[in-house]
Amino acid sequence: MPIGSGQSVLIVDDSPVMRQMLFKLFQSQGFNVVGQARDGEEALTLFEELKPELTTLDIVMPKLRGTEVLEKLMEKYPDSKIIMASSVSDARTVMHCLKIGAKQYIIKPYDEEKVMAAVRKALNLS
Amino acid sequence: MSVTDENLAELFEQYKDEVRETIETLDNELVVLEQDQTSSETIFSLFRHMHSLKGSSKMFNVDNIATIAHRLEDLMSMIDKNNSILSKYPKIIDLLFKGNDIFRDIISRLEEDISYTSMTGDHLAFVAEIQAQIDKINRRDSQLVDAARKLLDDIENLLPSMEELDTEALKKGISEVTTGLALATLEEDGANQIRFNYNGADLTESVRIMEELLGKFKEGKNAPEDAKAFVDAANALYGALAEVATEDAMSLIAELGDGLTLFSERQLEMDQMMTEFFGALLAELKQKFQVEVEAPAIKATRSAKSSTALKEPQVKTIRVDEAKIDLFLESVGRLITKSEILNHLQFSFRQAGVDIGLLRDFSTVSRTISNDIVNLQRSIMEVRQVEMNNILKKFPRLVRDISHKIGKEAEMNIVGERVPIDKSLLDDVEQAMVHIVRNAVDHGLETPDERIASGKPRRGAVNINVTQEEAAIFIEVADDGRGLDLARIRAKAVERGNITAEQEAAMTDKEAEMLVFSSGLSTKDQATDLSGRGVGMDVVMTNLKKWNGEVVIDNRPGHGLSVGLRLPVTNTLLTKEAIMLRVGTSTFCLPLECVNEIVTVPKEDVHHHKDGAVFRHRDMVISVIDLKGLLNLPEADEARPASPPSDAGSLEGKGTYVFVILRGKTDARQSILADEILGQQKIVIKEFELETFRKLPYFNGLTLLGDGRVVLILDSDKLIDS
Repeated sequence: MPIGSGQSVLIVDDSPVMRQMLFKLFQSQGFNVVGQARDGEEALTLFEELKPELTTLDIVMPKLRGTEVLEKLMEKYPDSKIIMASSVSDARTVMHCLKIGAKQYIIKPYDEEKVMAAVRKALNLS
Repeated sequence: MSVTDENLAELFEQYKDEVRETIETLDNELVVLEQDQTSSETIFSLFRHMHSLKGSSKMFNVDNIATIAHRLEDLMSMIDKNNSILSKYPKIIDLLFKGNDIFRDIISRLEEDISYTSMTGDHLAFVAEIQAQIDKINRRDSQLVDAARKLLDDIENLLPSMEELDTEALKKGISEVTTGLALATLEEDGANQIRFNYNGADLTESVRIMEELLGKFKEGKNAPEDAKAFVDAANALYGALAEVATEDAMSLIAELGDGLTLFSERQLEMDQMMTEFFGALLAELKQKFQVEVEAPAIKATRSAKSSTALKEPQVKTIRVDEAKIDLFLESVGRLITKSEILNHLQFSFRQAGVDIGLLRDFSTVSRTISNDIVNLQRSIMEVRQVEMNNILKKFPRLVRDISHKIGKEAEMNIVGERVPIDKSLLDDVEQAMVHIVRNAVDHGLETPDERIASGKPRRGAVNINVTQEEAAIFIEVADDGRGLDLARIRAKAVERGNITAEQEAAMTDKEAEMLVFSSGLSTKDQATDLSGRGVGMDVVMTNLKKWNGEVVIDNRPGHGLSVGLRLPVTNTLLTKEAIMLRVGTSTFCLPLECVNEIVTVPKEDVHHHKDGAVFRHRDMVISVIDLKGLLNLPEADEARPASPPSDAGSLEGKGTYVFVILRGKTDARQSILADEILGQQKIVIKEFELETFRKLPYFNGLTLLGDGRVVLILDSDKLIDS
């Protein structure tokens, strides 16, 4: 039983492997991955264009860091549902992102069950 | 099965008393043991007490105490055989204290519910804790043996190569093994000796719980309830830190608070991310804490007097219900009133012209009865007396617990345990002393670092000295801490509105010292949960006033504070000598202790001004309290127009006033105007039973006169305050 029902998803990560993993995961759970960004600037452009219902946001990226992307998005679209995607070593930055408006976090390497649990909470799905 | 048999019931009471006694003894011995962990005498005594506790509890089927005592006996027996165990596992002493608290709890519950004799979950958990400790000792011992054996083996293995003089390898080998050994013995106990403080807040417990659980989370060995326990400990840490936060750690503390909020709001899990987050944060926070390595210790030195006292044979006693004694005492009180009636009759007989011989006989009988009654009262008051030790034995433990909690070191010396005190005073005195002792440890004593910096011994002293004076008991609590900071107390009292700035300016240092007894006044900037909430000292004062107690403060800034309580010996508690006086048409009585002097002053020497009247007496200006005005009493002449001219006691007619100069807790130089002094007599004070009466502003009770009239007793302190 897939969790999603065609919700649009934007994946932001500088690593193709990570993007690919998330892409497969979301597709298999009934979400519609509408875009993938490789850095912070691309993330902002794609977000403007696509207005995704859910965004996964990496923190350590070229050009614009995830934290800065989040700040800008929160300023303009405070209701957007953003999940921070990061490794454990960035725990304190992740918590800071949650404080300024990100809904949840997912931990690299991804564990499907945990990612979906975070998505459920972020989107208020039962 | 519980104790229900009628015959057993009385024995059961004795059993409970015995256990209570044992508990107190254990508490004291534990404090001694903590100080001298190898005292084989104390260790054996503890073993013996556990043994007999087990025995008697089994007899009365008090299964819970019996089981716990049995396990503790096993533990003590191990320690008795190898008294180095305690220094390796100082936690055992906490375990023994905990056991004692459980015994105490069981005994008090047995009072309500005679069937509270089986093991509860908590008891089982505690027994498991003891067992774990016993196992640990066994295992640790075998570990040590193993390590030692390995060391020998290693050295033996190295011996052949000695020919090649491979001293480096030998050294390395030995050092590895010895370090291993040291770590094996220090692992637990070392951690136990580290305490974390931050701006005076003791964070050791929270930090310990958090670190322990973080370890579990990291290894993925956590139980479902661990996350909650962790959050609770983290919240406790945050709460404690937030209260004492200073600039240096402000942002870290805020981060902890935010983290905890997010954790619950976003329904996060205690996963790797959170473990890392809290772990990294705690590690950084810990760098801001002050770390202390030795555990605070306290020593209870019992006075030589008391230790010999302990060996004295027990006096034979009977058990009497306290209520029965009180009832008896009340009857004695009524008898005293009756004997006053006899006195009264004597005068009536004389006035009625009864035969002088008869009158003399009557007078003799009346006096004898009166004396007998006073003796009766005195002996019954003595029955009510108990030794100060009843209160004092609690203090070594109290001081230990407080100093442990706040990271101070204190030594407690007690002298005068055998001084008798009336049982009715016990609760109030104990409460007062708890406040004073707490304040001494919490406010008075400095931290070990501060003490060393100011050239004092690391460990502070709190001394309790009880002495029997001629007509009073004097209880002194003296510490060698920082003393009272009068400037700060003055400033605080003004700030809190207890006194005005003008009053403050006019205050002597002695008067300023007494400010510590005002309500809501605490100069410790950071409130702790021990003291510092500013309630307490005022309570002490109010309670002691009830017993005519007096407080003496000896403040030596920088060197210590001593607070003394002087309590009148109590066989005169219920009866007092008092003068009877008439004001307007009303009769009042005023205890003699409230009277400084009675003076007659010519009317022209009394000066009236808008705030009232004053007169001069022995170069002092005495002001007059307008009792008639205060109590709204009618003038005698208005109420009794036919006032008899035989009103000889009043000097009013001769152009003079009679003033009673009051004696209060302060040198107030105030007086009340009496229309007539009716005489002096022994009164039996009855406290007001109705709350409404207790609120009466200028009285503290009532008394029954020999002729059956009820008279209110004036309270000089309350009058002076008006």
